[in-house]
Amino acid sequence: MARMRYAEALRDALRSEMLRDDKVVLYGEDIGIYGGVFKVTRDLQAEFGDLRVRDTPISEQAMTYMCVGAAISGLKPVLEIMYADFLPLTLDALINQASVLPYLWPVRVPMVIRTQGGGGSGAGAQHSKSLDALVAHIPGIKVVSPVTPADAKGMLTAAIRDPNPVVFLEHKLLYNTSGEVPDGEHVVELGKAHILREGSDVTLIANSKMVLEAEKAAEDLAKRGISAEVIDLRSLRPLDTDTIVASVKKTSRAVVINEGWRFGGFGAEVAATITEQAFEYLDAPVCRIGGFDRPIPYSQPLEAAVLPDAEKIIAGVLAMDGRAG
Amino acid sequence: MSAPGARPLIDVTLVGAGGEYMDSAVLIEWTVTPGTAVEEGQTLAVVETAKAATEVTAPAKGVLQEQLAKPGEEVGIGAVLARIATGGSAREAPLPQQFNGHDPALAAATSNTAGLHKRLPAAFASPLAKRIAREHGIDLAGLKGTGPGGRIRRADVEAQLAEKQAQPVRADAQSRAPDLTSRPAESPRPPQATEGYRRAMAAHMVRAAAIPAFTLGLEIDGAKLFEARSRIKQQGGRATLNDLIISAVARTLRNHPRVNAQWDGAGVLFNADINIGIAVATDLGLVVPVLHRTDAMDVEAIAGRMADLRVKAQSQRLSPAEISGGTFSISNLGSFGITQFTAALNPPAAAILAVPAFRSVTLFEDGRLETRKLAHFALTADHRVLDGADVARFLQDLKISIESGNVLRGE
Repeated sequence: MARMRYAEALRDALRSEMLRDDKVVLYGEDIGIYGGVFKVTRDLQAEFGDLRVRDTPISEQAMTYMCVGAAISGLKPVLEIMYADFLPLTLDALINQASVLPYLWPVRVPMVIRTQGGGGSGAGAQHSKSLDALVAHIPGIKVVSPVTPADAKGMLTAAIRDPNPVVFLEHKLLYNTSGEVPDGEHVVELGKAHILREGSDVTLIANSKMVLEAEKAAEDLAKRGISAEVIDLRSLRPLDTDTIVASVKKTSRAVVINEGWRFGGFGAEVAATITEQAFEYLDAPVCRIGGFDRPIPYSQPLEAAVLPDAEKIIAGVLAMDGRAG
Repeated sequence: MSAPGARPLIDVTLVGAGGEYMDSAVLIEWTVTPGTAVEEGQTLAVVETAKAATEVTAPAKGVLQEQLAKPGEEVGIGAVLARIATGGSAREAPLPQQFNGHDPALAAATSNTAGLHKRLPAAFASPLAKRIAREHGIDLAGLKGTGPGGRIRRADVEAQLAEKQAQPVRADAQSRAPDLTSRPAESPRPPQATEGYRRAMAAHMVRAAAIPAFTLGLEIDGAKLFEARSRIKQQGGRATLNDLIISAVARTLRNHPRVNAQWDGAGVLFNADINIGIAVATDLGLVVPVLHRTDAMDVEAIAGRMADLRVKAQSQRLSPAEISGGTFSISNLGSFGITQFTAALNPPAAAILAVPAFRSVTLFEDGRLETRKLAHFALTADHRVLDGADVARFLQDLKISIESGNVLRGE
């Protein structure tokens, strides 16, 4: 085990997979000499050459189509989209090509789109979005969002080896977090949630950076005598409903937290699943905590006001009991 | 007895459960002593029939005047169990004194368990609280909720449950004599409960054994059932193999009215509806809740209803309506790993299907080794109604239905 930063763990996975399989290629804006805007691909072009680590023009649409073409021709492209805010430009390639081609022709589309989203750094309305729900809506595409450096390495490895298109969501505030990461080959199966903390009174279900906020909330709730279980979804699609439902059957309460907009957000999908599969175990309505239905403000105090955090999660839990924070 | 000129008396009679073979019940316990004021729908006594323990409730508000049977006594359907002195208001006075046990609508209205099972109109409670209350027979109407807006939560029901368990003997029972109800607090049900049930069951089985019966069996490949179950699970649904088999049987019965019939003493009586009774093992013994109009239900509905009936069966809270009217039965011992058995008839229905466990069997067929999921289905039939060929044709159709998988897709 080595302690490393989230960004380094991703780089470790990319490098290991490139060494293991020469079909793995990287595409993206400024990923070559510059090493990517968050330095995940630093030095990889020097090591693997500019055919395998390729800088592209500024056109997310063209880049994604190129990946689809490369993937069906036998390569395993990993595309970096600088900000998740630009995912809408990739949607035609994802919705009308990558996700459906295996259903129309005897082809596989083994590609990964790495991107980073989320707010909290004052990056403004066009560089702070969490569009998890937008991509998770598309059948045929896997969508994952690791939160720990170990999962970042293990899940990126699994994503590259997966024969399906995978959207790999990172969070800009996670790149500098650090943790223990297994040395050598480390693969984390996609589609499995992880119970980070066991509890008996309420289940907090979150993904990406919101997992850290849920853990903070659970710490605080413990001081108030409320035992919270924290589930890191890790994978939005496929969704590990078994883990979610088993936990809610145990605790009888659920709070679903996602950083994206609450309306039509991914939390709604989880909440509906719980209601369908564990209705008679619920002692209170499922509570959804999500971003306010607003563009993310540039001003950091305003940005903090619209984004979910531990405090809002705690308030949600207490409100389920009719208590005020 | 009551003083002349006092308030009008109303009989509390034991009503039947749809008219079948239930003709008597054993009184297990009185839950109210004479002289106590009772509300309409309040439980007065617990009785046990061949099929389930059930409750006798007050048909009207008043004062329990006298009890006419003792715990352990067998009472016939229609017998008067107790008398209630009513206040004499127009609303309370005229009530049916007798019930012939053949009218389901009337049974529902006056059923002894109707009060227990009817939806509580104003209970503002969480689904979990409702489930716990239903399983333990707690009336939510009397509870105060501590959740937001007064919502009744698990904690509220559990508090009530703890209180109920701490005081199994009613306060007023201690001050009145003679006291037929007092019993040790540790024993929520006196031992004769099982004996009464067993006695009724024994009588029913002797009746079944007197019927000339025969059994035919064939092997059915369950691969499509397993596929259907996983498909349903993938789609977020939930159905057991048994639910899928029930569905296939119900649809097959449509084309075999003779298998869905009974002997009425003079001839064959064809049943208009397909109501499948499912044998369920409970702590008390075997009970057979009935899925009414099974052929009109899709698999999802069957699965939901079965889950509900199983919970009720385990907590001995099945209503008379829920255990009556069966026209065909299924006994599934597959979950116990039983690979072959025949089931005893459940009169008056003319047939019962025994479903054992599916086993993976490798066969040499058409020059190739094939692995199949096989189970030996066995149908036991009343020979007064059915002949071998009738049963064989039914089993063949059931086999086609299950093996084609069409019926499992709801076609």
